[in-house]
Amino acid sequence: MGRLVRVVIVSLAVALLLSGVGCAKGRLVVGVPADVDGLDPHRTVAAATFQVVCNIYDTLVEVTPDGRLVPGLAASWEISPDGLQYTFTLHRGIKVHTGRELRGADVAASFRRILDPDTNHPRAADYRVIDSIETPDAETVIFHLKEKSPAFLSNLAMGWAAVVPPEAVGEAKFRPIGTGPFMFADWVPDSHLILRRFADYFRPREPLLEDVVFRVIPEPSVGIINLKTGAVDVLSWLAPQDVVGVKADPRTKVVESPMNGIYLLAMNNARPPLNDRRVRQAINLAIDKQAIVDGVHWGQGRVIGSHMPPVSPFYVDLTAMYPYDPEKARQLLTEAGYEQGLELSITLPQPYDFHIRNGEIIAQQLEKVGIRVRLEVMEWGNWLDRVYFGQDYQAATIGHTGRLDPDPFLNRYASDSRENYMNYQNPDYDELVELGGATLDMDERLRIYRRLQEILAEDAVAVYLMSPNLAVGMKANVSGWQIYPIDILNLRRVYKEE
Amino acid sequence: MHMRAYLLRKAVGMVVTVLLVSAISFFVLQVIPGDPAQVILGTEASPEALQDLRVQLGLDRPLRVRYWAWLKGLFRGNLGESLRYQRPVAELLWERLPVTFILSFAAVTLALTGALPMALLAARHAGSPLDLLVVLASQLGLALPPFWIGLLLIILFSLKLGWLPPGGYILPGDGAITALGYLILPSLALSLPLAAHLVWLLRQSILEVIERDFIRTARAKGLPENLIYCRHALRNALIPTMTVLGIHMGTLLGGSIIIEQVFSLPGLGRLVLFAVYNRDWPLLQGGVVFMATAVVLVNFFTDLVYGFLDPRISVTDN
Repeated sequence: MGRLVRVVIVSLAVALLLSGVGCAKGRLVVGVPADVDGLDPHRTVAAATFQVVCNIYDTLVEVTPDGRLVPGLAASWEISPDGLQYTFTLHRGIKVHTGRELRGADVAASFRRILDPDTNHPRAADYRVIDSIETPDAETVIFHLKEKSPAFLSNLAMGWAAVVPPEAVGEAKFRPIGTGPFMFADWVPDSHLILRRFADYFRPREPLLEDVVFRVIPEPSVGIINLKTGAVDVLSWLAPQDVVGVKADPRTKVVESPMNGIYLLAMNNARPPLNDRRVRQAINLAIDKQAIVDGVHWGQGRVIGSHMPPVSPFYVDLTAMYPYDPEKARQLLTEAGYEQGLELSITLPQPYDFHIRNGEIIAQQLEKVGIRVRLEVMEWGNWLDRVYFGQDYQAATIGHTGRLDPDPFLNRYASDSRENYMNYQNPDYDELVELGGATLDMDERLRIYRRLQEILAEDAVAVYLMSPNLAVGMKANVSGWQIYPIDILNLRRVYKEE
Repeated sequence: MHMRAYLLRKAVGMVVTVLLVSAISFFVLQVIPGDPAQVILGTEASPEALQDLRVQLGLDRPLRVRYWAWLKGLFRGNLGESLRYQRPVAELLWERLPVTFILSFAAVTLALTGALPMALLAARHAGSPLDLLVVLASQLGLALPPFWIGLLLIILFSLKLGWLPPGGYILPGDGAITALGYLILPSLALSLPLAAHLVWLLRQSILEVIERDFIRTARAKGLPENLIYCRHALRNALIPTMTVLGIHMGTLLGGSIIIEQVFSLPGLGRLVLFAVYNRDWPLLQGGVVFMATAVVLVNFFTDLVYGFLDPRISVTDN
C-alpha cells in the first residue's frame, strides 16, 4: 500500500513537472534600435535582419556563446580526410512551419539558391567553394568542395547560410517560412514585428515563450524609458552611458559580453604621408587608446593591438607594441622628415556617433605631436562611396564585425583583395594568408593567424583601437538571455519569470 | 465661368509645381555622392555583387532614361518600386499615411483649440499680467525644440505618472482607445510649438484689427466689447493666421521626422528620411511628390477659406 502511494505520488510529480516544462507562456517585447530591411536572410547584409530571422530559420551548424560549433539542423557531420567532402546527417523529424518534414533536398536547394547569381546573395563568394551537393537520402546532405576550406564549417553557422525551404522563396522578404523556433506573424515596417511560437519545433520543449514582439525604438534615451516603464522587456542594445543606470535600478539588469568586433582608425597606406611606415607608427604611438575606451565608451571595451578581437581564440595580445608615447612619436615623425608636423584628414561616418567621437579624441591627441587634423563628417552612403569603395581618403574611423573564422576577417589585407581599402601591400602577408586559407591543422592555423596579426601591427597598417562590449538591458524577470559571437538575438531559451 | 477658369489655372499651376519639385529632387539625389547598391550591400560587398545589384535595380541605365520612365509611370499612376523594400512605392506611402494623417490633424486641432481662446484673452486684456503670461508662454513654446518637448512629455506622462505609453504605435483597428493613447503625446508635442506660433500671431493680428475703422463703427453702434472681439476682430485677424496654419499643415502632412523618431512612429517622415539615407530614389520621389501635392492642395484650400473669412477677397480675382 505504502509502495503504491509512493508510485502514485512520484508519477503525479513527474506528470506535473512535464506538463509545466512543456507549457510555454508569455510575450516578450524586445526593443531594437533599427528595423529589419526584409526577412530574407539570403538577400541582405543588415545586422538588424539577422538578429531577428535567426529565430525563424535554422542553420546546419550553430555557434555557442563561447564560439564552439555545434549541431544545428544537422545532428552530426563527417569531414573526409582530404577535407573536400562534408557529410551532414539531419535531425529526425524537423518540421517546416507549413507542417511538412524538412528533407535533405530542401537543404541542397537552399544552398543552390545562395549560389544562384539571380539571388544576388551578398556573401555568395563565401560558398563558391562548393562544387556540388548530393542528397542520397532524405536525411543526408553531402557537400563536395573544389578545394580545402577551413572556414567552410563556420560559414555554415552564419545567419546568411540559413536554410530557406523552397516554399518560402517567393515571398521570403515579407512572409518567411522556416524551420526555426518561431513563426512569422506580422510586420509593420519601422514599428514592430511579431513572431509566434512554433509548436512543432524539432527541439523538444523549446522555445519557451508564446510570442515575441520586436519594437523599433530608434532613440536610445526613449528606449531606456520604455525599459523602465516596462513597455519593453528587453533592450537589445544599451548605449555605454546607460549601462550603469540600468544596472543600478532593481527593476532591471544588464547582460554583457565582449563583442566579436573591433573599432579602428583606418589609414590609406598608399597615400603620402601615410605610405611611410614611420608616420603610421608615430600615429599609433601618439594615440592613447585607453582614453578613447574611457572617454567615448565609458570603459565598456578593451584596448587591442591588431585586427582581431580578444574573444577570438586566434587573438594575440599586441597592445604592448605601441604604448602611448608622444615623445617617441615626435621622434619618429622627425626621422620621417616631418619635424614641422604634418596635416591629416580623418573622415568620420555619420550617423555613427561613437566613430565620430573616436575621431574627435584622436584629433586632439594627434595635435599634441604636431599632426594637424582636419575632421570631415560624412553621411554613411557618401562615406562608403568615398572611403570604402573609392579609397579616396587619408584616414577614417570605422568598425569591423568579427567572423567565426579568422580567414574572412584577415584576408582583406591581401594585396589583391577587393576589400583592401587600406591599400596594404605585402607579399609575405599575401603568402601567409593563402597558406592559412588552405590549412586544416588547428595548431598550424593558430600559428599562421597570430603571425598575420603581428605583421599588421609591426607595419602599423591601421590604429587598432578597441573591441567594444555589447550590453543588453532587460527587466529583472527575464532569464536565459545569451550573447553570441555572431550578431543574433537567439530567443529559443529565453523566458520570463512571473 | 470665372471660377472655372480660376480652378483650371490653379490646377495647371499645381501640376507644374509638383513636376518641378520632383525633377529637382531627382537630380539633386543623383548629384550627391553615394550609390544605392553600395548602401544596400555595405562593407561586405564584392564588386560583382555590386554590379549585379546595380543592373537589377536599373541603376545602369542613363539618368534621363530613368527619369523619363519614372515620369511616364507617374502619369499612369505608378510611382515605381522602392529599391530598399522592393515593394510598390504607393503601397509604402499608403501604409504610412494613417499615422501622419491622424497626427497632423490632431496637432492642428489641439493647437487651434488652445490658441484661439488664449490669443483672444490676451488681446482683450492687452498689457495686463494675463497678457504678459500668454506672451511669455508663447515665446517659450516657440523657443523649445519639439523633440525636447517630446522627451519631457514622455518623462512626465510615461515614466513619472505612468498614464500613457512612451512611444510606439498600434493600428486603430487593433483597439481604437489604445491606439488613441499612443497618439496623445506625439500630437501634443507637435501641437505646442504650432499653438505658440498661432497665439503670438493671432494676438498681434487682433490688436491690429481692433484699431481699424469698422471696429470703431461697431463700438459706436454700441455692440458689447466681447462680441466685437469674438465676431468682428477675430474673424478678420484669422486671415494671416490661416496662411501660417496652411503652411504648417502642409509641412505636417509630409511627416514630422523628429517627432516620429522620438516616439518611434512609423510615419511618412521617417520613411522619406531612410529613403535619402539609402539613396532609394523611387521612394524618395514618391514621398516628395506626395508632400508637394499635399502642400499645394492645402494652399489651395487656404485660398478658398480666405474668401469665406473675408468676402472682399474673391478667389477669382487676379
